[in-house]
Amino acid sequence: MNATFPKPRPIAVPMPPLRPNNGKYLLFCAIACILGVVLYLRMGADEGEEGWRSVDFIEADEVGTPQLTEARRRKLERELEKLRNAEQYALIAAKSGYYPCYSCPDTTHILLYPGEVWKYGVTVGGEKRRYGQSLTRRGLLYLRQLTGEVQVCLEEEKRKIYQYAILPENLKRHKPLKRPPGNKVDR
Amino acid sequence: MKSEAIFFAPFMFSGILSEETLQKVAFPNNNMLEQTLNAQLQLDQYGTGVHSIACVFIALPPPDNGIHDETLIYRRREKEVFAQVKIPYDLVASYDADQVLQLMATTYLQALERLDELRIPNFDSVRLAQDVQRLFETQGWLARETA
Repeated sequence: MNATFPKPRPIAVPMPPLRPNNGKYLLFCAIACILGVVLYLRMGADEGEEGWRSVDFIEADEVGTPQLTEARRRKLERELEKLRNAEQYALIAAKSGYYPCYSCPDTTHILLYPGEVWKYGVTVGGEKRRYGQSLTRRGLLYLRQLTGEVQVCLEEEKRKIYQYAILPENLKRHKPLKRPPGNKVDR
Repeated sequence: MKSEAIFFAPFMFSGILSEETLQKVAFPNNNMLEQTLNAQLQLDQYGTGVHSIACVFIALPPPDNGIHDETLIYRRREKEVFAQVKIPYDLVASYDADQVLQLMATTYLQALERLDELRIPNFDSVRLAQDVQRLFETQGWLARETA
């Protein structure tokens, strides 16, 4: 006996609409975006204005433009002035003795005689007394060699550190040093 | 830079100098002051408040760039008096070494006489100044004032 079963009819699945009817939806999105941008900008602006007006180093000029406060401008000028009044110096041995040697390849101390260079350096005004209080204990003298702009002093310092290698006081050593005993690097 | 007390002594001297003043102030005057004071006076005879007195003479040509100032302080933890004093460059330039020594001795004594202002505990700075003055007079280092 041949039973036949009718083929099931496919169920018609309703297709979602290809293009939703969302004109209003789009309009809503556009308005929301515009509002969002406007709010963001206003928030940023408000925060910016509150920001610089709330600190003590910025003030508004006559027309409301932000500028540094008088105190801040004066501090800047003072520090620039210090940079224009730098000193290049040498620390030299005040007496014969063994001084720490940071550039000696195989020893920690080196014998220096009075007047021999221990270190070259640069200082600017305002530095907390770099060596004053330790000169005496370290048996050193501070010898000012050049004054002027800090850049000029730094160049001279570097020149002297390198040229130390061929100073007579260094050449006489069994093992001349590459740089002064107190200079750990070439600056 | 950590200070290494290589040449520690109760009385210590140094200088902030230029090429023009180096020889007259440092060699041999600084060393002479230091050796004489350390040989003739014992700091512990004046109390336990001070273990050392360090003095740096400043003799630099003008203009003064303000980097090196005079100071007189007492460092309580180290029990050290530190003095940084200026001596007039024009005098150093025109004086010979002996006169510069007198200038240094006078300036140093003036600094000692100001120690009383620091009110250092357990230290008789007045008696120290008097003894230093007597010592300097004996050495001929204090210029006598002429009427």
